[in-house]
Amino acid sequence: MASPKIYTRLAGPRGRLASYHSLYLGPDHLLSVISQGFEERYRRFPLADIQAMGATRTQGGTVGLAADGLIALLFALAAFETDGGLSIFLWVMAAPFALAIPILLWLGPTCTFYVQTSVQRTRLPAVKRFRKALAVMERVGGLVEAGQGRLNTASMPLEALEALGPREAITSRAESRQDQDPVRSGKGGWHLALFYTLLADAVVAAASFTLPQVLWNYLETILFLVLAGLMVTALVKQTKSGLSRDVRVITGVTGVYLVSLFFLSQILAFVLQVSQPGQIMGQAKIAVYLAPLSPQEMGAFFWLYLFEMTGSLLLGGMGLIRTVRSRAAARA
Amino acid sequence: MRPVCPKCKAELGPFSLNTAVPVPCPKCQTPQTTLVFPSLFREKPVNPGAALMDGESGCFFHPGKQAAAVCSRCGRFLCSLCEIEIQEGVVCPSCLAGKAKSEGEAEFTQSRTLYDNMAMGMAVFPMLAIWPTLVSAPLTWVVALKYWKSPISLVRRSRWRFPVALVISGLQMAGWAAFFFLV
Repeated sequence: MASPKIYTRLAGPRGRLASYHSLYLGPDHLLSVISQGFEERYRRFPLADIQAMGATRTQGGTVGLAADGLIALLFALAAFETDGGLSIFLWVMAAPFALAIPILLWLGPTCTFYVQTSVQRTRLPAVKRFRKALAVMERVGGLVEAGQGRLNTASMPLEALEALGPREAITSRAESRQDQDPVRSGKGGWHLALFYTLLADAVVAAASFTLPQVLWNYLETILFLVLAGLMVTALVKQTKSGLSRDVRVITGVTGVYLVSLFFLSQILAFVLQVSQPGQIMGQAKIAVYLAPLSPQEMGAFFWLYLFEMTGSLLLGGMGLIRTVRSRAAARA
Repeated sequence: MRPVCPKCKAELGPFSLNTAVPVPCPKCQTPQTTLVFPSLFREKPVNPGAALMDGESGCFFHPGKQAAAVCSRCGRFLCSLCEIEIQEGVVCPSCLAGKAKSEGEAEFTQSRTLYDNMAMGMAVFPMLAIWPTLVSAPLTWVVALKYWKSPISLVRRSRWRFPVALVISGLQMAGWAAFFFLV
């Protein structure tokens, strides 16, 4: 029933949006496997043709760990605030996120891994963690060197490296255009819109907090949807952009902030609905319920408003200043 | 093609290559490790094949070109343009095409349809809505039995999904038979 074993798994499978990626070692080549639906596609990299392998650390792991920790913390805080069956439910929800923290710490930082041959430079998403990438490079590098010979740093022909000249093989036309204009794919327009909207959100949250009008609550909900859209667009646009590191970090932190704000408000809304069964159902009724309350009557929502006002104000202000500076520097 | 930092695309100098520990990229300062191998500096020979002289053997596909190798499968003479090196030796383009067509040749397979996964999916997912199993259970048997011997994934070796899908869909059909018989 079983066929002879040809390939040894090196890394993966790693899930992406609609596919799974794995990396295998064959008798004389690397095999990248892309599983999509009921089909598998294969790409081969002969060991004799591999010119280089590289891995660069990315921030995805840190952001993921922070988001995971934050979600665990929010569930735990909500569980502390409640009692009975709801508290148990919230603890059960917090447990998987809490358990994931040591696992994520053990897995270590994430990375981008690529293999270069004479005709292509290909990113291999199957290798996600930096530690794994180093292990793969050590194992495959040994096999490549066994066939090609060893290239020591001391004996590396510097002139030959210079003679290779500027990189000639560009994998896509988009990348080629980006070389000519480093800020082409991210001029910062979407970032400006995001940070302006964050400032507007801070103002609306303050208005909603102090003025007993349900209109502010509705406006806040609409603004949050706009913020979510702008956030995703800004994150997509800043990939491979020439925007400064500060802007990109602030955008990432804003993403974590918005996710935590969403989860926190959902948890509080859930607790509110459970505490008053049959009376408050849905977003609109919650807005109507909260609108006439004074800060003293709001309970946990008081802290949520405070978090939203300060978070939006700080991130919006900092992001706006940094983006304007980055755009000015790019123009100069 | 010179090695570059995957993040900022900055060209990497010799001091950033083949290092024992990760070193920061000279431009974006992100820790990175890059290994380069001798083939990076190997010049690719461009030899379109020498012209045929009197008394010499010519290429089967290019009669005007001098033969440089012999196909290990069919024995045809080949010029340097037509010789293709694979694991088992030098082959000609037509033998390579024939080899690639035969399903058993893992070396040339570009993609495969995973019928075992398909059968398993057809057996399991319709159970979420119960009623679709009335149609999907017999279809699962058709797929599993028709493609029982078809090649599966290159990297997985076992076909356990086929019998499991058959058992699950068999139970579904038995359940429906019992339902119609009793009701």
